[in-house]
Formats: sequence, C-alpha cells, structure tokens
Amino acid sequence: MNEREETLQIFFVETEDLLKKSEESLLRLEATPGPGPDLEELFRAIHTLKSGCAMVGFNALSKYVHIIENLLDRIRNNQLSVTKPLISFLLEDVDFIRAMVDRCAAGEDIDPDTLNARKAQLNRFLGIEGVSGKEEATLEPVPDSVRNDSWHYYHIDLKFKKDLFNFGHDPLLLLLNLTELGECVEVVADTSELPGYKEMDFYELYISWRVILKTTASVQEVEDVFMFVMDENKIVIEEITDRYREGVDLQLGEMPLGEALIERGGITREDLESALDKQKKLGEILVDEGKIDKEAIQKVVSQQQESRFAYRKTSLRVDVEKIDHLVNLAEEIGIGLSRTQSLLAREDSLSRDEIEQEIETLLNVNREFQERVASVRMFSLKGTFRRFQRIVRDAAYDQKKEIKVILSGIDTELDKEVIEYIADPLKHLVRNCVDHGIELPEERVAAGKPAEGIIEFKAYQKGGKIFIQISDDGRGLDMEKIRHRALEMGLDKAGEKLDNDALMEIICCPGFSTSSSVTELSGRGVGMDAVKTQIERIGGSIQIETKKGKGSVFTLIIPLTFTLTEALHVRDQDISYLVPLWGIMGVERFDEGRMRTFGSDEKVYRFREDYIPLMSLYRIYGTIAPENDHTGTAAVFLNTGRQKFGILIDEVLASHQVVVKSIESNYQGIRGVGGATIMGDGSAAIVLDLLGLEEIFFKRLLPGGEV
Amino acid sequence: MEKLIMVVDDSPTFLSSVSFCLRNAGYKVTEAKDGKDALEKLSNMKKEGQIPSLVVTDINMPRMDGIAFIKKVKKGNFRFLPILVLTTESEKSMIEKGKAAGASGWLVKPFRPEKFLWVIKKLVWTDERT
Repeated sequence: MNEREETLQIFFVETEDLLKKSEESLLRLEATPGPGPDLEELFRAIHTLKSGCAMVGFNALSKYVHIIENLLDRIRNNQLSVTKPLISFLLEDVDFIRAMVDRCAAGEDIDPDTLNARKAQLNRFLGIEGVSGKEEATLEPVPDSVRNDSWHYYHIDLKFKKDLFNFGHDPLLLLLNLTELGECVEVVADTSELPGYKEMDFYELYISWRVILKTTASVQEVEDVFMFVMDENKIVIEEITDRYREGVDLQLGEMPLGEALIERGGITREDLESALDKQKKLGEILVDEGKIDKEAIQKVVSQQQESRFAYRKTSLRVDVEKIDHLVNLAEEIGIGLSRTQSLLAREDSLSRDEIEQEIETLLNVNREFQERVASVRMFSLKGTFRRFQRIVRDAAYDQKKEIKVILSGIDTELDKEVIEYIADPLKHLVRNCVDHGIELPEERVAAGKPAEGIIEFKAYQKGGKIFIQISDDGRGLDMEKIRHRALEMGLDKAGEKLDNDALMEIICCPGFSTSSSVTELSGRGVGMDAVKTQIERIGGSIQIETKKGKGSVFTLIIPLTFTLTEALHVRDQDISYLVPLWGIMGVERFDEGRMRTFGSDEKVYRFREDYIPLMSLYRIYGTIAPENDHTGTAAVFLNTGRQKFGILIDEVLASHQVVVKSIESNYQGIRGVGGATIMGDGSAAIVLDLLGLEEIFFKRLLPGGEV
Repeated sequence: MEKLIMVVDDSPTFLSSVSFCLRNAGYKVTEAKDGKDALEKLSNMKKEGQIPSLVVTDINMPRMDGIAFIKKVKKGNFRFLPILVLTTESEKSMIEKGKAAGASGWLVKPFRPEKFLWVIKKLVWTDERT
C-alpha cells in the first residue's frame, strides 16, 4: 500500500465515523431544535469532513460540504431556524455525501451534474427557509477565516479631510477594521499638521496615517474597509507584495533619502524640493564658517574614499533561485566525484575510458558552477543609472538648466564590487556634464541649439570589457582654456598638440580645474585625478572625446569582473603566466626566420601578413635573464583593440578559467600585472594586464613600474 | 454592553426586518417611523443620557425625509453621530446630497444581511474591540 492509499484508507474510516456522528446529531437536533451542543457537534463533524475532503483532493465534494457548513453557521447565528424539512434535507445530505465518498473510493469521478443538481436543491431549500422573504439567500461559500492564500502586503496612505468626524467616521475605528484583515506591520502617524494647543480645533482631524498591511485579503477587500470614505478623502492603496519582504521594503534601499521620505515618511515632493533648495553641502557650510579650508576637506574626502576602498561591503543580496541552482550543481559535483571514486575502487577492470568520461562530465559541471558563482556577483547598472537621473534632475534644477536624460543599456551587468567602485567617479563625471557641459537655455538657443540639453548614459559590453559612456551635447571642453591653464601650471605637454592621452593627463592632473567657481565642493570633492585613480585601480581606463560647441563624451572602460577570467596558461623561465583569452589573436611556434631586429633589441615578427612588435616576457618583467641568448619557443600574439603586439614565451600549457586575486592589497599596483591566482597544482601564476603591457610596448613606460 | 442602533423607516415591514436582523446579530434596536419621529426620540434619549451608536435611516419618508433629518441631526447636538442611509434611492445626485448633509455611508436596498451587518460592524465600536 502506498502513501496515498494509506491516507485514503484513514480518510474513509474517519468519514464513515463523521457521517454517523452527523446522523445522530441531526436526530437529536430534531428533538431539541436551535443552537446548542448538538448543533455544535454537527458543525464540528461537517467542518472536519470538509477539511478531510480537501486534504485527499476531493475538491468538488469539499466545496459542497462547505456550503452545508455555511448553512449550519446560519442556524448558529439564528439566521435560519431548524425545521423538520431542514432536518430531513440534511439527513438526505449525509446519505448523499456517503454515496459520493464511496464513488471516490471506487476511483470514480463525481459527476458534476449530480453535484450541481444537489447544490441547486440546497439553494432552493435555503431560499424558502431564509430569514426574510425580501432578502436573497446567499450560499456562496464565504471565505474561510484562514485561507491558503499567500500573504499580500499593501501600502496604505490615509489622508482624511479635517472634518471627517462630522460624517460620523472615526479614523481609529477604520484602522481597527483594517487590523481585522490582517496585521498592520507598520503604522506611521504623521502629526506634522497638528497645530499648537491654542489654534487647535478639537473637533477636527489633523493626523494622517501610513500603514503597511500584511494580509491574505484582496485589494478589493482592503478597499471595502474604506468604502464610505474613499471618495471624499485621499486614500491610496498600493499592493507592494513584490518588493516587500520580512519587514523590509526592497525598493527603499535603492532610493535617495529624499525619495524614500516621500514614499514612507509622509513628506510631499514640494516639501523635498523646497528643502533641497535651502540645503547647503556640509563642506560649503564649514568653509563659509571659516572652520576649515577647501584643501583640508578634499584631503578628508579622499581619505574617506581610501577607507571605503579598503572596507568594502561584504554582504550581498542574492536571488534564492541562483543559490538553489548552485546547490544543485554542488550536488552534481558530489555525485560525479563519488561515481569516479567507485570506478577507481573497482578491482576487476579499471577502465580508463570510463574515468575520463566521468572527469569530462565533472569538468563541465564545474565550469557551469564557476560561471554561476560569478553571476551571483553580477548586478545591472539600472540602480546606478537611475540615481544619476535624479542627480542630473536636481543639479539642473539648482542651476536653472533644462536637461533631458537618456538611458540605454541599463541591463548591462557588472560585478557588484565594480559597480561600487565606479559609482563615485561616475557621479563626478555626471556633475561635470551638468555643471560645465550643458549651457544655460539662453546660451543654447543663441548657439542655435534646442534649449533643452541632453545627457546620455550608455553601457555596453565588448570584448570582456564594459564600456560606460556619459555624453552631453553641451559646449565641449574649452581647449584654449585648458591649454592656457596647462601653461600656467607649467605642465610640459602644453605646447604640443593635445591628443586624448595628453588631454586626459592634463585634466586629470591633481588640482587642475578650468572652472573659476568652487563647484568642486558641490560634488564629493572628487577631482578628475581621483576619478582616474579610482578607475585605474580596478584595471579600467577613461577616454575623452570633445568638440567645441558640440559636447563631450567620457568613456569608462572597465573589466567585467575581477573574479573569473578565461586565460591561457603559459610558462617562461619557469614562471607561470596567465594571458587573458579575450586579447589573444593567435599562438604560434616561434620561427626565428620571421623575426627582424632593429637597433639593439627592437624586434618585429611577421604574423598573418603583418609585422608586429615582439618582446620576451622576461625582459618585460625583468625576471632572471636566461643563460645564453634564449629567445623562447613560442609566441603569443595579442590585440587589445587599439594595438597589436606579441610576447615570447617558453611553453604553452592549457587554457583555464581562473579566479584572479588582486595583489594590490599587499603591493602597489604594478603596470602590466593584473593580479595573481593559484593554479590547480598549488603553484602561483601571474595574470597579465594586457592594457598595461600595451603601455609598456608603445609608450615606453617603465616596465613593472608603479601605476 | 449591547450597542444601541436607531432604525428609521416608514415601511413597517422593512423596519421590522432590519430590526430583526440587527437584534439577531446582538444589537439593541430602537425604531422611528420618519425623520420627525426620529429627531424627537433622539432628543428624549439624550435627556436620558442614552445616545445610539448609529442611526440607520431611509430617505423617502413622510413629514421629514432622510436628507432633512440628517441635516438637523448634524446641526443639532449630534454632530458626530454616524448615520447610515439604507434606501432604494440610488440616484447619484441624491447620494451627493446625502453625503453633503453628513451621511457616513449609503447602502442601496435590497441588501444582503451579511453585507449589511458587515457594514454596521465597520461603523460601530463594540466593547470587545475597544
């Protein structure tokens, strides 16, 4: 007998027992009609029967019994009197239910027509026996006191008119009625409208409420509580089940404080805007009061950033689904391992093929596992971009500028840590666009542009890197002014024609600013130099394009993640290196005939109809010089998207997915080194930073020097 | 203690069925046959210090109709008394009038007893809920 059959067996025995009890109670009830112990016993029996039917899956029958239960409930409430016909009817019902249960026991389905016919009889019966002929008899099953429905959360805003009491309504009674639907998990009374004692009219209502209700009720049921006050008063009911969990509104964390206060603290948008108008930044206040100078603030702000960099947030909110998937994969790995073990333990015939096959499967599962683990850390840029939208809005309002924000690629995902690192630099760039990029509406119209400026945020992924662009259609960087300032500051590049790199170098120079105003303080005190440092810290770079009168484009190029990289394991001079796969064009056996040497050690190599510069890794990293003129046996050709170059190595091993650990917490950033990782055999390997290597090749920067 | 509810209606049949329904649900009921009668009864009750927790009134009645009755109640000594209108009248302009006069709610006949009692419960404090 299986479990289902066992449950059914118990159910049939219990049902027969309950039906017998019902019959006895009915007969006693006939002798002493009306509410009392007999009715209670009958009610309990029928109620138990209903639950039983539902439990074994006889839902149609359960619903039918439910109607009888309601009928009995009416007798209990003196809404229906016990008569002889009623008793006979209910006795008939007992036989009917018994017959239906027998059918179910025999594995037959209940004929819906039979059931409906009986239901109609029940209804008709009640129509006659109802409390009053005028009222329609209702036998719709009323909701059970506890339903199996899931919890709903509602955000309810109650802003009543001051004269609510005059209409005989009591807000406390309304709140009380609300608690009868469920639990008010949060109640906030807004007393800000409350006047002083002398001005107060005690017959008026000054308080408004905000309630989070946890209930199984529908929106309609919640609205019904306010049915008489809905029209005249400001009652807003919003279902927030999707974003409310265990007392935490998930959306709240994503909002700036002002927005959250509007949502939950009961202030209006006008309140917020007038407060923002009055608000001065802490730095400005302190400088105005002469308590501190601007440089000192800058210093502390950058120290703060150092500190934030060091103590990043260590917790992560992850979808349960993602975790479940990981658990499954972990189990699969466990199963694979034990299968392999048992294969090895088999003494008779050790099949190499079978073991290899198992290992192959394991490797696949493991790869997926690693990908999934990495994806746990991935978050979309949505929240960040949305915040910028707000920053632009506020800053534009402050400066009386008209700016439209366009967002694209907001679903692009980035490592959570990376998002945290780039948030402040991005914010600075955004403020720059508003403060310095977009002109005042008058200026724009005079220049033949629409009065409304445009700032566009765009994110996309290309070749293992994430590109985040912030562009504006403003006045562009003033090259003359920049050149002028550069000369003033004695920056040696000032005389030359400015290309992107030189431009970057100048505007990212600590202390460089073309603006005479002190808007720097209005940001977080992060100068362009800090922006550049921060971005480079996570292996990223910044590009600037600008055209006078047309606008500027700032592009941040940042690594997708620091966690997982697909890389080629190579060895040179017994040192393991990992070359990120995204930059590899090809790998070839070294052929000395295709190499040309210029000067003392400039080498080019012919690769696919192209001569590209070549260098030995040991020269780049200054590791031990090999005995005699060692040149390596293989060459790896790389393309960073901007430049092509090759490196010479001794040995090419396998391609791996590696977890890159930053080594910067112990050492300062080293140009050309992206990080380190531990290989499967326990040895350490250096992960190459291709963009850094490119700088070494083409800018003749000091190999291995500090960034 | 049982809560007292005043029912005002000119139809004896209807008056008794509403009263029956309320009494069955455990309320104490006092009846009045029109607005004028109700006003008189209310002021007498006030003298005895026993004001009802709720008034349920019809609209179309002889001598003094529901709207006038509500206005009088609200202007007199019963400013905060909840008044529920229970009527066949479902004209929107009439409902507006009633609400402007100070009615707490408006139910249209015929009604389901469950619904009616549910509404009553929403408007009356009961002892176990205070």
